[in-house]
Amino acid sequence: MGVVRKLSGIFVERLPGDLSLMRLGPPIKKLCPSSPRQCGILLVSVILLVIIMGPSLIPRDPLKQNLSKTLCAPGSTHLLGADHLGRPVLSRLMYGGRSSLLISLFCTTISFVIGSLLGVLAGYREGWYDLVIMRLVDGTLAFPGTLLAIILAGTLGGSMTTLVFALSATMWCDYCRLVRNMTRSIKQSSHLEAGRIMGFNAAFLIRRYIFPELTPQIFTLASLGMGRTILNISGLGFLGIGLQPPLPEWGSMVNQGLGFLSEAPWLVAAPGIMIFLTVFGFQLMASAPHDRSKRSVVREK
Amino acid sequence: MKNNQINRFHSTAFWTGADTGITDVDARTYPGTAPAENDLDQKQGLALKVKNLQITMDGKENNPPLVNNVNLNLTPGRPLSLIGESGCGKSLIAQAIFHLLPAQLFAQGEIYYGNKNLLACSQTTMHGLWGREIFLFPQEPGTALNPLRRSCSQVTEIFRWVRNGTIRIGNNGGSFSLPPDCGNLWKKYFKQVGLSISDGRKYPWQLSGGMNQRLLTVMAMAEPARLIVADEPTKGLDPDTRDLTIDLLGQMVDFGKSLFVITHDVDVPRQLGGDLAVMYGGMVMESGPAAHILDAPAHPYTRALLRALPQNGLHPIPLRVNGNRFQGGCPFSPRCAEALSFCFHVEPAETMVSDKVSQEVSVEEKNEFHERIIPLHQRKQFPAHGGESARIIRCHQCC
Amino acid sequence: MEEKVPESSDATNVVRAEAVDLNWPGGLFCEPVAVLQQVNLSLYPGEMVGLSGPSGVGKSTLGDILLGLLPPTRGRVYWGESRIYRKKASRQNHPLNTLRRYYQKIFQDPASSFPPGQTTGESLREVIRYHGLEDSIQENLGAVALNPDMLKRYPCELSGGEMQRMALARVMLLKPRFIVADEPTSRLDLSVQAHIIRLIAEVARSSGCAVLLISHDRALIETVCSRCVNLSF
Repeated sequence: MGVVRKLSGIFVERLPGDLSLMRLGPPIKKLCPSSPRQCGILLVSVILLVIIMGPSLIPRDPLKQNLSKTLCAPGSTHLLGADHLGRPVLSRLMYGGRSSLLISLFCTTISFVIGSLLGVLAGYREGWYDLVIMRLVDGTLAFPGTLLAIILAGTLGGSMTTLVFALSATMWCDYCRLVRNMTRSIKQSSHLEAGRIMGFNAAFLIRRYIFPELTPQIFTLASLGMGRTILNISGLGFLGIGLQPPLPEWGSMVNQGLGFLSEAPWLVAAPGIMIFLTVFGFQLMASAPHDRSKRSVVREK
Repeated sequence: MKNNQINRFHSTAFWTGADTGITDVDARTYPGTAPAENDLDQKQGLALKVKNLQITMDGKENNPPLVNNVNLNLTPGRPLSLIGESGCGKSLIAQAIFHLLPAQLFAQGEIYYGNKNLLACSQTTMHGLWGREIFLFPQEPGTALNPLRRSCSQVTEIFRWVRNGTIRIGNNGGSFSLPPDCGNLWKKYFKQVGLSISDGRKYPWQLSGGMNQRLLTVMAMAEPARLIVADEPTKGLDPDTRDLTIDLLGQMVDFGKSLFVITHDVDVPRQLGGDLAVMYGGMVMESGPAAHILDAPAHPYTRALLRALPQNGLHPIPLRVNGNRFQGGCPFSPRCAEALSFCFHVEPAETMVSDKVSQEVSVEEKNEFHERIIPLHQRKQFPAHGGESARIIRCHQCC
Repeated sequence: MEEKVPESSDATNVVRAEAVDLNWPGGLFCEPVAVLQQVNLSLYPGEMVGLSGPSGVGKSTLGDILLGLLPPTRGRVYWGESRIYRKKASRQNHPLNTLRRYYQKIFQDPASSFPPGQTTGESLREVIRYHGLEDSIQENLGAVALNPDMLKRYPCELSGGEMQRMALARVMLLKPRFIVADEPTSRLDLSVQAHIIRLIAEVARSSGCAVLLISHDRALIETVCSRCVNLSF
């Protein structure tokens, strides 16, 4: 919890009231989530743990074909079975998750950085900066985002860099608009005026006064964005214009498994469930954090 | 005293308005105040009695109660003001009356409205009472009105709602009906508070703060409610609007409503007259007729509070003269310059004193308090109902 | 516009406004409004001047003009000897940059004048660090009768009176020459009001800075201020 608190600047307060957990001892109680947000964090960290640690615990080559094990059912040799070329589904899931999460992390970071920088600039400087940047945002948003990503990924080929570029082409606009609007409203507040009167320059004000107030909202948006990007990547993979086979990818795994739906339903179910859990985890993580003002109320009472 | 009041409430003389003490309406000079005409105006306020109200945080019995044994007495025709600092629990009393306390808080005691105990009422009953019987006068005129609707339509809405809904007056079970042309009824009310008819066509944001305040008054008058609770009605208002608000509140009393004002502004009881209760740390320190208390405060806190007024020399109340925190006894004891040793341990009881207290105050202090903005003769004098002018003080020194 | 110049009118004034006009520009559907017309006002070190008037007359606006936050339509404003709102001065030597920290303001709502995400101590230390001043937080807290424990709290956890004293302590760290107190007690309790006003007067007197007390309460201004400026429409 402490790590999350430091990372995001979001303040999580454990609410009393979850009675079933109260009976457990303190160490277990600490691990149990008590808000949707904490459930999300737990879910995502479990998935991350599996994806990062898994391949070293169950070392199998996700690309190695073993035609004797074609469509092997889940069992002791293959925990989640094997696909039509005899490749282990579990390993493919773990490696596929690595690339999906990495791409969406890159996307989110890039759009986050570009969007917040431009947004702060537009919101703080106003005038021409605001006009130009916001019209740029409007222009970009006029394209349907997914369609743009399909066109870009389809024409430029399905490598990792292309996917990152194609998916973040429209995503930064959301950050830009959010940050710009919030900056404008914070600029009206009297603590910013107090800061100006005390002689702080713009860079200092943005860093110390504006950014800390933006972080909870930006991180919420980023968490939602992670989930959405994973969906988009899987969608592109399903259409065959994402990461190219033989590279494992959740979307393309679903696509390949469709042909064997009746014989080997786990081929579709396993990546589908992973997509669902990951996106759901990020969505839960984005649910309202307890902000500082609420926290004080809890503490006072 | 309680029996006396309930008896009077049941007497027919009270209901016909003969004994309500507002017979001198015409003598007072309000612009455009017309004598009551239609049957809506005949509804007179009911008494509000708060008995031994205690508000605590649930689950924590060791905590001192936020509101401790509060007794208040609102007589129809006499406004009751409650003054106190922020955090003394005065707003909690209003919330308790309306069943709007935060979930962690828990009220014990009795709040009688007429002869109905509001604290024992179910939530459904309270929903029936809100607006129909008890009305919360909103705090900020600018934000309390719907900016998208013309001012007349916001008022007319109340009439329409009143006419279509079934209204029962108090415990007598009578219902009343409005004249059919309620679409024009608002004009009469607008005239009474000094708004012009053209203002009715405007939106609230086109009106000034003072006009919005008048509009809210029209709504409060148009509501069939007979008890109006105003929580900090003058907070953040400039002096002109504030004076106007106090005037309008007084007008509502003339209109026959019972008025309970919660405020931290000493000018409100001073201009409104009626009764006054001074609250500190969850206890009512002193209560009685406003004029008497402001003339000759008996409780050390009231005295200190009045001395902190700019016109009385701006003497700050010391933050903590006696060096110790509040552990029991009188909540004001840590800041009280006159505290005795047992003030810190023994909770003071309510003592009823007659008006001779005013003579016990030293001559210098009396002189000091006689320099006020509003001389006594300009203040509104609400006639006292027999025996109601007694003062109740919670202080060991006044026993 | 009435002003009574004190006897020591040859003393160098801290802030001076000469023939200041301010018009709000008109828009498509609204007429331009003349808010201030020919306002002259000078403040001398160590004095407390009251500024009163009905709401909407431009009291706070005048305060902002004197603080260098809002350029007037016409007229001159001086901080000491240097004229502010001059376009020609270079950015480095512009009095609005070099003298900025000596001209301070106390807000109506003290809690909102502190960043909500920092403890009050962080906010105070930030001021010291940014301007490279010597650490005088403890002395200033003592001057406003605040417990150093309060530095560990967040703005929303302190009462209005405590926050207003904290704001005064923060302003005094900068050793200001001029403070605009814009309705500093209108949101506070009566018993706290006397305390805060007395503190402001005392701190200003001991440090020799001029205070412009904006308030709609004439009685308050007449009690504590050496002279009073009344704005009317």
